[in-house]
Amino acid sequence: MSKNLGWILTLKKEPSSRLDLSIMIPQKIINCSSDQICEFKIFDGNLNINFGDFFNVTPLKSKDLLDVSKYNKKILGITLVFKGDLSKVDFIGAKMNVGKILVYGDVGDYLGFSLSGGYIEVRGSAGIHAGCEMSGGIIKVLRNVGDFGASALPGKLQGMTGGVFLVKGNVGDNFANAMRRGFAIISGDSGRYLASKMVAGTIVIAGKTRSHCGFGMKRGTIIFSHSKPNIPSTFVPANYNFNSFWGVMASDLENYDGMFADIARKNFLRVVGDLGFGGKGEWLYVEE
Amino acid sequence: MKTFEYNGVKIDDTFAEAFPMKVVRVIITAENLKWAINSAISMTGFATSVIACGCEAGIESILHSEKTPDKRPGVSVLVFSMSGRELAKQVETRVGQCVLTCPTASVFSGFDEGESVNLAKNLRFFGDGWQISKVINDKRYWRIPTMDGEFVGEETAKLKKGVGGGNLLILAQDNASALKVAEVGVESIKNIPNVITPFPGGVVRSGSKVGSKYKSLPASTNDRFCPALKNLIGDSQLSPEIGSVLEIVIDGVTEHDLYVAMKESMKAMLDLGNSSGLIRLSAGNYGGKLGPYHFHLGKIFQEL
Repeated sequence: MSKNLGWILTLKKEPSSRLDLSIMIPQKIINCSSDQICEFKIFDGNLNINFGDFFNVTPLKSKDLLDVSKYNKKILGITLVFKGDLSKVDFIGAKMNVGKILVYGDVGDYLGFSLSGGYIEVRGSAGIHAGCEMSGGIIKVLRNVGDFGASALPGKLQGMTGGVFLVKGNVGDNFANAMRRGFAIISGDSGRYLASKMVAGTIVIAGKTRSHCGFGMKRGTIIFSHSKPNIPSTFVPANYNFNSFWGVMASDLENYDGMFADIARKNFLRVVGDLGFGGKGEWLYVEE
Repeated sequence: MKTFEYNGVKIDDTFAEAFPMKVVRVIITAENLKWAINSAISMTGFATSVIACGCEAGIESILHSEKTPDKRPGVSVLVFSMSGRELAKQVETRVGQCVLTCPTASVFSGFDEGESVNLAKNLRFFGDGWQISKVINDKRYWRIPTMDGEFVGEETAKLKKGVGGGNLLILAQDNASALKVAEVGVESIKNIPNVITPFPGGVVRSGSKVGSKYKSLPASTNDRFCPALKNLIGDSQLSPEIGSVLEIVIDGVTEHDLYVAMKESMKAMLDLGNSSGLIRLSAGNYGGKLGPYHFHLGKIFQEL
């Protein structure tokens, strides 16, 4: 019997309301057959239905496997490949701790919610609360991410607490709200309140930010890799020679994206804030 | 004792006896190589022998900027000790006093695997609350504000098993020739990775034997190799023409590393021939009772 590499899960028809796919993660179906997977119960709105009612399940071939070796992380487990328009499908990869998920197209809300391990790649856009409260693993979204990405759930105190979140497009409002540890890279622009109430961690943004960036930031680092941000009055200059730290950070960034290939050679300036919240957060921005 | 001969130099058919140690590699970087070396020299000072220094340490190699974690020029340092606990204490103390204090210097772990020991984990408290923690690629670094900017240190280093006590005894006509041969022997090891020669200039003159006539001393002068005593003791190992004996001591990360270093050193010294004043090569051992690693000179000689 050949080794189970994973499954291709193809959406057969558009759901009438939102589908909750939180059960369909690699660690829960690693030993299941296609028939067993089809019998998993999922929610279509408030209706309890079989997974097989909405998805075709076919075995994955080795040519469909993802290569994630460049991230220097050993990711075990099976791979799930989702196909079809999943913009109404929520909680893909929620609470996943092992394995890989690849989605061709857009996904709904709560992508990788509470992710603690493994790798998720979306070759489209993600809805709101993507990477919400994730504590490990890697999420890569090739287009845009909605509001509250990598943030805390409403009423919670901690957003992202670990792992890596890569966004090749733009992010919405409140990205990395209350982020505490972890690493996020945004290749595009961000909405309002980027990293508001940030406690720790690192965010790299190549595009522009809107109002209230770093509002209430206690600690943590935001790196503006390609432009100078608008610096609010609650952030003050704190320049010094930080070549050693920058050398470590820049060489790590070069692993993630070609757009950071020359970042080590650029001059960066530093401000710290938010002074209303201790002033231990830092912004590093490229000198223009 | 059976001997071999090469270029007119005799090689004793004996063995160097080495023993297990613990080892940590740290990488020290700085704004330029001069300051990285300044820090490394300071950190590896008073670290010739575990007998009284607590550890044996030395500069392993010079690192170009592309080979260091922060892409600045650096130095790789190996620190050896008999126990993991003592080694952890020595590394932390020495980094705190010799790297944290050195202008522009930073410190990083040199091994990727092994048991974790503190590097900058406790030094961070020097930051008095202003220290910053950064996790980059699953490694935690501490950034401590200092008067020249900041000190960057990886939180932990990795401790591995090592091998200490590899040695070669140089028996020469006089001090001048013994020094010259020893310098060549040490120089030949400099570019070999994973080994250090912890004594001054890589050479020790006060080779020791186990025990002493004084009960409180665990070790005392190796009288059988002292030229001054050759006519006073019955079991002197020195023939009349030998006027000076020096020893090269080598510590290595693995038994193989030590073997390679001994082989290279032996080859370089034997190539000088007896015209250099070198009369014999030998090695120190304790009858096989001290350590499990035995480096037989005869075997090494046959592989040269």
